[in-house]
Amino acid sequence: MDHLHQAPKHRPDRRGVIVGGATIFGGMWLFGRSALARSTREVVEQAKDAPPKALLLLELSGGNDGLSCIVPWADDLYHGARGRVGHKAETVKKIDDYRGFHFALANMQSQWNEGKLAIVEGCGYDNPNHSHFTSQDIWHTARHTGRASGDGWIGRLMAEMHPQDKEVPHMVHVGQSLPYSLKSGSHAVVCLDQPPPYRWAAGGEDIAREGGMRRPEPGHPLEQIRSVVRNAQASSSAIRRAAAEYKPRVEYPKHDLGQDMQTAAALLQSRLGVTVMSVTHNGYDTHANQVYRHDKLMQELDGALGAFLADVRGTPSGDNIAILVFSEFGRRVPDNASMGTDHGTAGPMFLLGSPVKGGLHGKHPSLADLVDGDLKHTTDFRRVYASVLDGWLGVPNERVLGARHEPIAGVWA
Amino acid sequence: MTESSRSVETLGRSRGLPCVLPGDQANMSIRSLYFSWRASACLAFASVPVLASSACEVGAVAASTTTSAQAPLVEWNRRNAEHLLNRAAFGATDAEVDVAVARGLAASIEALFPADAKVPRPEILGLRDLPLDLERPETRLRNVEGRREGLSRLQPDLISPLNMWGDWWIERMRQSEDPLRERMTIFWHGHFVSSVKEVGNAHEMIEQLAFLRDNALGDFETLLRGVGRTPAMLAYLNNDENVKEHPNENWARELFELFSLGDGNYTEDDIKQAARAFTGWTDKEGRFLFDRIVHDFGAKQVLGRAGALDGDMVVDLALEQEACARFMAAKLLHHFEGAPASIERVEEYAAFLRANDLHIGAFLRRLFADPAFYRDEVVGRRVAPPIEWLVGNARRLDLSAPGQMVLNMGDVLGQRLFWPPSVKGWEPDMAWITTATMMYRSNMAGIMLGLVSVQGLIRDAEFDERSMGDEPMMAAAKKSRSNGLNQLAYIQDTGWKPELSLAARAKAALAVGDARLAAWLCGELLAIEVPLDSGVRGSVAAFLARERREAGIEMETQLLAHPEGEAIVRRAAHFVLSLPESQLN
Repeated sequence: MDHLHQAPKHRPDRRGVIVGGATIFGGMWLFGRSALARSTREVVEQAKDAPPKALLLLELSGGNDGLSCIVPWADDLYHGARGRVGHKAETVKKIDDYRGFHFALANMQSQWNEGKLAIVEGCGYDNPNHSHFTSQDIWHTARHTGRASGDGWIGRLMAEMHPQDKEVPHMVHVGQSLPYSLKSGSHAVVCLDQPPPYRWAAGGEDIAREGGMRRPEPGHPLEQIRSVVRNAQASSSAIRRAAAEYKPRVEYPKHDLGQDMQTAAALLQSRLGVTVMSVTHNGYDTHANQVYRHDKLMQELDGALGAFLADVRGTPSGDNIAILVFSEFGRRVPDNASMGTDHGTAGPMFLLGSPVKGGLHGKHPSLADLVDGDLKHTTDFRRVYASVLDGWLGVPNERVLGARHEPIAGVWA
Repeated sequence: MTESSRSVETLGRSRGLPCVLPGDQANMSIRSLYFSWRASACLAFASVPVLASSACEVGAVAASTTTSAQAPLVEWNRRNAEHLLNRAAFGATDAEVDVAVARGLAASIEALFPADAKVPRPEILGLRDLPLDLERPETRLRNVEGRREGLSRLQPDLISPLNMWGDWWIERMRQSEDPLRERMTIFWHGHFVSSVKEVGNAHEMIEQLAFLRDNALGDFETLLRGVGRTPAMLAYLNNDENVKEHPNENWARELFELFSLGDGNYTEDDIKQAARAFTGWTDKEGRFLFDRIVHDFGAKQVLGRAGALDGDMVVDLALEQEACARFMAAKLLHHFEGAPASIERVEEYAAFLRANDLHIGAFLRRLFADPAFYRDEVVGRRVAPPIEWLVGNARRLDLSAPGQMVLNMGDVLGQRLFWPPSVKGWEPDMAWITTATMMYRSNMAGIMLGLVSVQGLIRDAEFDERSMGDEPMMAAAKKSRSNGLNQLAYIQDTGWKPELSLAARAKAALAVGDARLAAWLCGELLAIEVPLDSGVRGSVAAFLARERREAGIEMETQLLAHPEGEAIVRRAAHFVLSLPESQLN
């Protein structure tokens, strides 16, 4: 059946044929085109202006052990509670006379030394939930009611920032499944695990063009699927071109996170019009054998962040990327017998990139004042979101977060 | 055989303790503990005769819902017959819908619970006894990372049994002799999650899946009690390392949150105390073992009950909660109806579950005979999860797709069996649909039809050649992300081609002419009925007409007999399977 593989070859004008056939579908075809035309116009406009401000949202999924990330090396209570998985004071990269970086966070440390890393300690929320999924929903929606409250916080942000251009891929997630933070009932979101296969083969794109345009049936799941197809169609070439033509200035690590960060760098600096890029680093649920696993995660995280920052720093668009790192919770203070830690509460958040002014914010939770073995959070995580919204993207935070939150001051350069 | 005696038999069989359960001495001690607890709770201990009589009631209730004169009737027609087969089996061809319509509703439901199905012990299970078992270095590596390292070192040996099981299981789905059982096995695999990534042992995964499959349509108690003893679960949620001095909460938390009650129906303290109750549940040489030495025999308080509770007592407490039936009713309704059910509907079905010993088979019999299951908001509006979609396509195309092909396509589309993405399993509904998966679904259909080269997909000739010059760097670098595609490329490289004869089938069905052929393709390949005025059939017909003219076939009636006819019908089939309409069932 090899002739089937080659079928499109002897029909080079296939696209033309479909366009010709599109008169049958008249208005519906035009509808599809108008979305494309808008995205093209957007691209042209952006090329004229200064590069837009962008956000890279990096989620450490599974519950990052904050105490092993920013280690309170001078706290005896830490060493007492972490007899199995604790880090010895001498291995820690010291920040000050209380805390220091995990030994694998060499790039984070140099960012810190350059004044380009803001650490917000003790981030969490009232009535902490210990379920990965419920807590992720709270972080993704910035609401205690989670998904019941509607779109994700980035989805809401898009509605505020880009009320007109709903079809432009302002939100992109690199990975297999979309985090709820990018959930939007109105705006396009692009999701891909890797660029080269991000396309239809064997004439599928023409097929999809027809599949994407039918008489609207509001409320029907078909309507949602069709809009995803239109977004896919509008982004396929642009995404692959941007990734293929991108010439990174450093070599990224070969692991998934490293490669995802390279894709993120390529797309953020392209003319796609990405405002928020999302990447997930999986594997933080270290109930057992934490030492080896968390060390490896820290190494991957640091390698990927280091490569990304070295790659984008100094380019006009690269200098307009702020990175926000978060996790759905920290972990229980006392370790368990399987060399691991169970679900906990508060943990640090990080802001990095050229726009950031380094420093220590929030307050380290006291290890002497625990609730059932858990840290008490000192800073509502939405205050960090508020800083990003007010201070970086220029959107009044209450319009996205539902209620006004006091931004963390002094995190922007 | 009467309705009720038939269910007794089914139930009696599924009651059988799972292969990995008791038998050894260590187990006897926990069972006797458990028995005395049950006795003290004034619950007649579950002996076989007692169960059999309750099973009679289950059967009778189920039978009455399907035959009672008072119950509102389901209008039995092609739409509803196809709906039942979409949701309870793996879809149906036109001919299979005809059979179901002729059979009637009651018999169609009954056919989903084959009375003499042997719950076959697959040959695959024999793999456990291969010499591999004797020298399994990875079992000596007690921790997860050690297992994972062992896994990568021993991958060929460890993965191949799982691949054989996978081939066998996919073939069971495609043959659909006991389709509801296979579907529910997928459901339970996504509910009582373990992943070979963490378990690192194919035999333990197979044993757990066999246990879930044996009990897929039985009572929830057997599942909940048994799954915690499977070595795969003990490893996945670290209970094999849960000891008195510093309990590990992983299993206790997910037991409540994801397996039985749902978030909000227990406290953090319940989890901490329950974790103590499960200390000592571990495994040795692939068997469940209760290790008294590390068990915490002290007093605990869990879900409002105090005492020297052990693991089985905690399972009992979870089962007794009002929330348990509600949680499972909601999850099952959502799964089968494709959207969250109303509070009233959940309560109605939760009450039914409570009245029927949480019997899953009885629940499903009732659901399938419920007119509300056939309402417009339910029919044809559920996003088909990848494995269902792929197996359904293979069935509708009459394609004997290799199990490995379906499994790897599932991976590409976001449902990699044996490797669930998290302890919560797979996200349902629109989470399956992203910009990437809409392209990939079309491409997977194209591979099934012999139209798409996987190598061509991996190498992006359009852009990679222009910029890189040498090798396609992204594809080569992201090995883990390309796993499914690479495996599919390998299958194609071995010379696999689909054996299909769509043109001949169309001809036999008298689907001659662009419009009739388009209608036949839509009817045969789509799980949902497309309205006549939707334009779908028209666009398929227009596609056929264009293809036909390009191939120089002027007469519509000549297409199927033309040498290019099969290729053109396949491209039209690809068109149909790429449509948004194809993603629903």
